[in-house]
Amino acid sequence: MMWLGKMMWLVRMVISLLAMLTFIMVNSLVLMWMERKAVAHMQARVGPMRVGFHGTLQPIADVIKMLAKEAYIPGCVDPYIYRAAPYFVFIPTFMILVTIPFSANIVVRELNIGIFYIISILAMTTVGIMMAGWSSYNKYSLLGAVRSVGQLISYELPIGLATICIVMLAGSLKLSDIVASQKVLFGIHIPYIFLQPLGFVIFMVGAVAELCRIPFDLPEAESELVAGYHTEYSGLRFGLMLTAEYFNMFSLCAIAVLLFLGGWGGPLLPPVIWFLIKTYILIFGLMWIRATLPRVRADQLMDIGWKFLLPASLVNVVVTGMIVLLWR
Amino acid sequence: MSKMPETKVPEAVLLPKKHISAEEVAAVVRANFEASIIEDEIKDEFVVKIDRKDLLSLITFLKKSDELKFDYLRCLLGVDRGEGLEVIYLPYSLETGARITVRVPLSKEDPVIPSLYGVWKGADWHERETAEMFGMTFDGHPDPRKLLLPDDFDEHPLRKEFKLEIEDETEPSQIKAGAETREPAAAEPCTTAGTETGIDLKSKPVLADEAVVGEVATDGFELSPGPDDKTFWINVGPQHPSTHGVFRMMLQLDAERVVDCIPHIGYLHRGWEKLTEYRTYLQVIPLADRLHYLNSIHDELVVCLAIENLIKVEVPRRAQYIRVLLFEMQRISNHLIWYASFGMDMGAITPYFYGLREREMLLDMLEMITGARLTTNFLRFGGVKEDTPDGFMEAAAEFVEVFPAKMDEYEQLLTGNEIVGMRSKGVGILKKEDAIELAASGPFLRASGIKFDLRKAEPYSRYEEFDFDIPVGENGDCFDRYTVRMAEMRQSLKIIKQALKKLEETVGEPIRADGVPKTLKPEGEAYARVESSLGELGCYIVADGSTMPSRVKIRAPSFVNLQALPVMIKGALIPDVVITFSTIDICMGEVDR
Repeated sequence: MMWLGKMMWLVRMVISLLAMLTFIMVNSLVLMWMERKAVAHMQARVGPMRVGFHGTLQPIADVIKMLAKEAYIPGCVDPYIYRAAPYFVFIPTFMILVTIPFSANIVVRELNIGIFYIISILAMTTVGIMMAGWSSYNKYSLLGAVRSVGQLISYELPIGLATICIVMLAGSLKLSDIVASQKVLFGIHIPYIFLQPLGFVIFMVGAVAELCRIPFDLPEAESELVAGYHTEYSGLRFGLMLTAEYFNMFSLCAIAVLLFLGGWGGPLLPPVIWFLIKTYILIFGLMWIRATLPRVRADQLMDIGWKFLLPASLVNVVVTGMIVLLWR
Repeated sequence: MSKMPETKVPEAVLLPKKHISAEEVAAVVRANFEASIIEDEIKDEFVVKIDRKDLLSLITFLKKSDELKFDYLRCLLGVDRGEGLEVIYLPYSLETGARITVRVPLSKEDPVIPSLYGVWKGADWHERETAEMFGMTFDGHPDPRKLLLPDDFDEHPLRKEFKLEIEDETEPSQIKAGAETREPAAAEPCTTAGTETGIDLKSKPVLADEAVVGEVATDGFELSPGPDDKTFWINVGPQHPSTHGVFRMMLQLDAERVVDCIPHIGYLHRGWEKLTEYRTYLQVIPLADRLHYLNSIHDELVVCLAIENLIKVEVPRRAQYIRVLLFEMQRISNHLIWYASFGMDMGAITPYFYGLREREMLLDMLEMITGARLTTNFLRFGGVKEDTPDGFMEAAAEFVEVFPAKMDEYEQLLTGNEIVGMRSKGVGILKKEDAIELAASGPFLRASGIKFDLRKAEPYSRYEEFDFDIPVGENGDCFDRYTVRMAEMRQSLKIIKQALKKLEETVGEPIRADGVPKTLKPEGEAYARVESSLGELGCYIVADGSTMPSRVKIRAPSFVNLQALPVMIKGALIPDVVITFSTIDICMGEVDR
């Protein structure tokens, strides 16, 4: 009866992957709508209003438009790399998502090295962006890609170091263990944000940079580089990059929730609802930042990364390490 | 929410310090250049005609003279007198307020004249434009390429020999003829395959930048760097999110650092100055709206002022107050648009909508009084078209009521913002000396620490009756240009308040001067200049006694200010270029004319 067990496992995997894919798509639509509406109201306007109730169906209309568009490939691009790049941007987001637990039992495939795996996969997006910028054969795209590679590499370090502190506190790389350890510390419910406030700030600043959002949206700085690395993309390929962007936003906020905000823990409501509420609050925060701040310059971005975030996170690691050592 | 303090502005001496009269200028020039003066005349200012061989020595003398200190070139223009050409120079002194008009006649067969580039760098684009429009040669100009016209356009449009063929659009037969040709053609089958249309979509096209390099290279420029050179050229515009219209520049970059910049303008050139020669004087006013379309009242004003000088008409005071009210309303609305796009260029999207929100109130008010939001067509020679309508004063009062709080909101968004400071302080510096040398004007000039405003220096429209300050900057960087404009909006509001009060006092008074003939046939020449939102807007009119002007030259502030761009961005990064360009505040409609 071995084969039956294997079949069951396979069927379960396929179903959960499909569910995850559906979630990615639906969630991107929700985020798209949310971003447009939230930012619109902050900017003294109303945002989409025509399609559906308060424009709720607008993202669907947008997606249909994008699917119907011609995926035009400019003549001078490097055809193979150009075609492959959107997948290199999109697939890592999917690979990260399958390991993120939404609650104690809603997870596709939890790994016991979960957070380590996520941090490493996060770096893969960089490759996709560089491929897109390089193969487009356009100076604006190339500048955007070079900027984003520099940016992503410098901000992955602080993110990793902020995560290390949490791992030290929890004593595990597994995300569900980290969430569980936030509950039992001192016998009461204390999320790590209270033990690691600096770590949380560093993680979130790093996340904004990693997501290339204002004030760190240099790779696609509209007023300078037109659209940065995806200037030459259109149609579905562009859509994939856009979806990946929204989905990275969800993934990083979800990781922040798991690491710092106690994951799915919370009273009354079911755990998965708590998880989504917390994640969406963080996402709303990112949108708020977008509506408030201007963009920094590339050299200033590097200054912030290397001269402030990195030393601060190193200090954080040392202090946390000593405390953990003394505590145990 | 804490209340933002009003932007602090440093103290500076108001320029010009004195006003040297035309007689004094005449005395000095006559004493030193007795022999070379062909003819001269004292009008509002001293007008002197000299031969081209004496031009450089006269101009150098004027600039070096301790008494007169001519440090600023207001304008430079060419005129076709029929039998010969003429170049008119209008130097000015920010220090002493001295003015002079230097006229240099040229023959059509040998139109060569020494370039003033060595004396004032600000003469650069003026000379290039005059050269291509009149077919002149400015001897010694380092960059004698075409400026506004296409490279393959070999004629000289502002010469009188160049005639426009204007079709009479009201002729019914022609409309009919046009309609016939517009019969729908038989639908051709749409082909997608590249080979059928003659374009092979699969083949590798010539790269855009290679083509550009080739094109510029034909202009006499060596663009392609050597093999060891790490720099490369990038083309920005004319279609680019932050070029505010159809401005184009070639940037030579070393990674992201700018090594060199070559600006290209002329993509919006409509031949405005030539068109005016085919319009009656009154018809020039609506045409003027199309120069700087956010600033149309100023454009109309400068034409009106020049004509009013010529026909010697006194504008009634109520009309003057209505004019002042509209100028300041437009100044605020222009600065709001600038504020909006300044935020946008830095990546802050919210200021854009905040700026547009209050501008809407101003445009509504403008619409109430003039009937249009942008192309107002409201001023008339000797007055204005209509009096304030019912409900206008109330709307204006409401605006005056709400605007200060909104100003605080704008400043809260950007002024104290750390990132705005990082991005704009010490970026795009224009030094005092460079600003004067390049004949910059307006908020752009004042941000460099020069307290000069035509509303104070040469008051027009009864500005002398109003109480307001001239905000200036200190360092001449992007942040100073920002603070100067913000402070200017508050000053404009102050003027609006006073103007509203004066309007209430003068209800029922006439709004148009008597005795302005229906058909104007002025004769003579006049240069009028006003402080528009962007700087010194000048208009030189040559009237020959017919119903249409013989030559109208617009000295567009952003045309002159834009020349400073390459000076300001050498060594800057691409994001600095964007923000520096944005703080010049240009309008391509005005730059290209």
